[in-house]
Amino acid sequence: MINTKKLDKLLLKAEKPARYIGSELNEIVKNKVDIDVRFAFAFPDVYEVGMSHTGMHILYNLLNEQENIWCERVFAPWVDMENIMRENDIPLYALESKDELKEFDIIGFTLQYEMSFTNVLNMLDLANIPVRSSDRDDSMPLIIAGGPCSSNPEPLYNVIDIFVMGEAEEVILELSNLYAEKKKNNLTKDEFLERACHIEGIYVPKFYDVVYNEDNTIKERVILNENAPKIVKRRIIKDFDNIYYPKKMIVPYINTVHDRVVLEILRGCIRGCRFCQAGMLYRPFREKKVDTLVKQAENLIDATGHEELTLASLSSSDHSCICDLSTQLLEKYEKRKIGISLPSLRLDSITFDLIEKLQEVKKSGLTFAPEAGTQRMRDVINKNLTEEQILNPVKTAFDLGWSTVKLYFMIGLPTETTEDVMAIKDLAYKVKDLFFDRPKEDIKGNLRVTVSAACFVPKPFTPFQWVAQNTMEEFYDKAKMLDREIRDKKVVYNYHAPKTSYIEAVFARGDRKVADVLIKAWEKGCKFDGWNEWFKFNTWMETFEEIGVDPDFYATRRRETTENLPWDFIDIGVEKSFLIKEYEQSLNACTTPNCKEKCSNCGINKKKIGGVCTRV
Amino acid sequence: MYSVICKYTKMGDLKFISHLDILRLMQRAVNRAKLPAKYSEGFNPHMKTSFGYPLSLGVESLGEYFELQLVEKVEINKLIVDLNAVMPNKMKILNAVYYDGKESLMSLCKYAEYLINIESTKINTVELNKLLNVMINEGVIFTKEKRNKAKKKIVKKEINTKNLIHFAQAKTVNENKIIIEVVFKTSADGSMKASDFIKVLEENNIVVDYFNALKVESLNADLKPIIE
Ligand code: SF4
Repeated sequence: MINTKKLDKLLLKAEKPARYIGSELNEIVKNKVDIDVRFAFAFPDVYEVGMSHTGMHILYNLLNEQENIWCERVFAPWVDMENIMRENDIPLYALESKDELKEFDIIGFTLQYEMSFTNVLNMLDLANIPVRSSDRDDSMPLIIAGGPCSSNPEPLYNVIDIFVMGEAEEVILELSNLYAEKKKNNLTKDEFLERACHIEGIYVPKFYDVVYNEDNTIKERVILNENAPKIVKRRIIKDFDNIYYPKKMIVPYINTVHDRVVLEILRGCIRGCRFCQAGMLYRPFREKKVDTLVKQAENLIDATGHEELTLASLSSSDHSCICDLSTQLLEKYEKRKIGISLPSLRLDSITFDLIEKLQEVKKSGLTFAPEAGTQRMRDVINKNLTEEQILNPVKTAFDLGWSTVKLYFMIGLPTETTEDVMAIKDLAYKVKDLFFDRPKEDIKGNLRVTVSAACFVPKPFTPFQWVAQNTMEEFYDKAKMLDREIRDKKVVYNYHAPKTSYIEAVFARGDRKVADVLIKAWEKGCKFDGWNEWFKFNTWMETFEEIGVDPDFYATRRRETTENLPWDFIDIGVEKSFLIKEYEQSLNACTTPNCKEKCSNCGINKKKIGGVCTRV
Repeated sequence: MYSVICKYTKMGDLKFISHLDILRLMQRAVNRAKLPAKYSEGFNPHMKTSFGYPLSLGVESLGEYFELQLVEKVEINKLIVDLNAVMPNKMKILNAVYYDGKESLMSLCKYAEYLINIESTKINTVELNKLLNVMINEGVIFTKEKRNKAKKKIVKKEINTKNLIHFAQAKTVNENKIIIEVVFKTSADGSMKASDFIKVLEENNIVVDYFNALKVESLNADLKPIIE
């Protein structure tokens, strides 16, 4: 255990000490002597962000239901606390036992966002664990990682011992049990890794090498260990309705980003938006039965006392029984003043009735994501949304008394022209006109249209994985053009910093060569890169220069579809040929129907995973 | 409508939880215990609760208070048992009573009794008690810095201990440990924190190596616990 008396004195100096103490309701504390595997679930961002992540709550409880495993939590300390810890020799510790991380068997990072990679390094360092896997001997914990960003694991290939590919509910237990055997049989780390790589969904980067062409593209991957598979398959849960879901979740003391019960109602998405990585990674669409969800909601509300319940998914209105489900929950919890929210609804007439019901008490703002201004552009990205389908619900919303609307767009999408960018303004102004073009007596409230423009980042395993990201100049030109053109008190415009999106793009599609840049940039003080106040763009650019890696090669270069991509050895289920077809379709602005209308043979049903998609 | 006053503890790491966060914690505990809480009317209904004098961050307590309004009467022992079943480990409801007085819970809490543990090899209890007597009877002036939120400036204020300390007595526990029993006033126009108290000692040449404070009780005008 770390020196808790020392910590006790120092905590009062830190902002929000509650981040660092644990002991929340529903926290799990076990007796160390009964435990075979000690697992630290590590979230590379602050407590409030990590505790809002549903995946963490699922895996924490899942692992702790095993008698011989004790899973604890650790988050990235905010910079003030980091300084306190470094100055006073307090190593990074897990919240439940206050044992330092070095004493754990497995440390598992979840990689939600490329900009948190430096925090992974920083957390290892704060725990006195060498960041490079080759510098860690057998006495050190096993470092594993999962989450959406591990779908391209290569930028962290020399840091992480094992990547877990895909949905972790099953594979994490297989891996932990194998680790328990390793300990029992006194296996070396290498012996363990050799066994682990036979588990489907496990990738051990040190068993592979990469040979490059002269132009820096990948020539081939070489397998260094005969046990290692050529292709690593992503894990997919077949029976989603019966998959583990926790009966209780930890209730934080301080306000977190999402302070509520989260119910995952479906996984995957039928829509096939071409920019969306989650939409491809989490195929196929699977939903839980209403009865299952009502029961799970009850367990969690009773166990946490939260006053809000969120039905979460990529596109909640696609649940086949969404109306039935929400009505049941509304009726059940109305009296107990528990609010129900559905954040990712597609707005059409059916779901509108629902939103109205849900918001009876409090009318918060409405959110729409047209993503692009023109129909052509929306067809390129396969958003499958007409202007009518955007404006009609807005009008209904105004008639029903709403007056704040948020519109989300992306700039820098493939084939985008000035006209497409300017159309963002036109769409926002049309929304504004809808408000005022009504009879005077109907106009109530103070209209506020917020337009947000994010910079498009091409992601692996999407039909846009080959496209060039806009250069920063192009992004700034587009973003600032809108800034100049949108001149209306009722319309508020903001855009995300292109610099962050540029670095994000490098690591999203990076290969092994960006790994050393990452480590060096962290050594030079980069951390919390997703937080504007800590993002050090110049340090990043300096580091690329020093290491001799050209960031444009990864961000702004268009790839041929024949090029070997760094993540090609991973099989997510969806076939590359499908992605290529989608890419070609996009260039002609041809749309693809959603999975409910017609199956487009993405390939997920052909593979060994077999038969997971029920829509075919 | 029925009003219940509950006395609870806040021990261990929970001393790092702010007063505002405790409010939310309590409301969620009431939800989990499915007590028939009363909610305010209007657009954003919230549970009707109020608290006793706020405890400062870093102090453990055996005598904290909160008041809850119910729409139905619940048997008091059942209420205590149900709430304790859903509270975090280091927090326990010690007792509860139905209350129909006029005075708010906050103004009922006129004094706060503390035990302050001090570690130091250089203090002598006799000397310390002398100083404590001066602090109570004649008063010692100290300055307190406060952040003025509106102007974002630090304002200095001179304060006299005489009006803020009701009782203070030190006892030696062993060679380098001393316990001070102290009763602070906790009124709207002035109160003292354990950390202020230590600051006054230090300003008057008492060497404190380490201290921790435990609030034992909130006391009413008659110096009696709000609830036994
Ligand atoms: S197999 Fe067909 S229906 Fe299923 S996810 Fe793929 S495209 Fe959609």
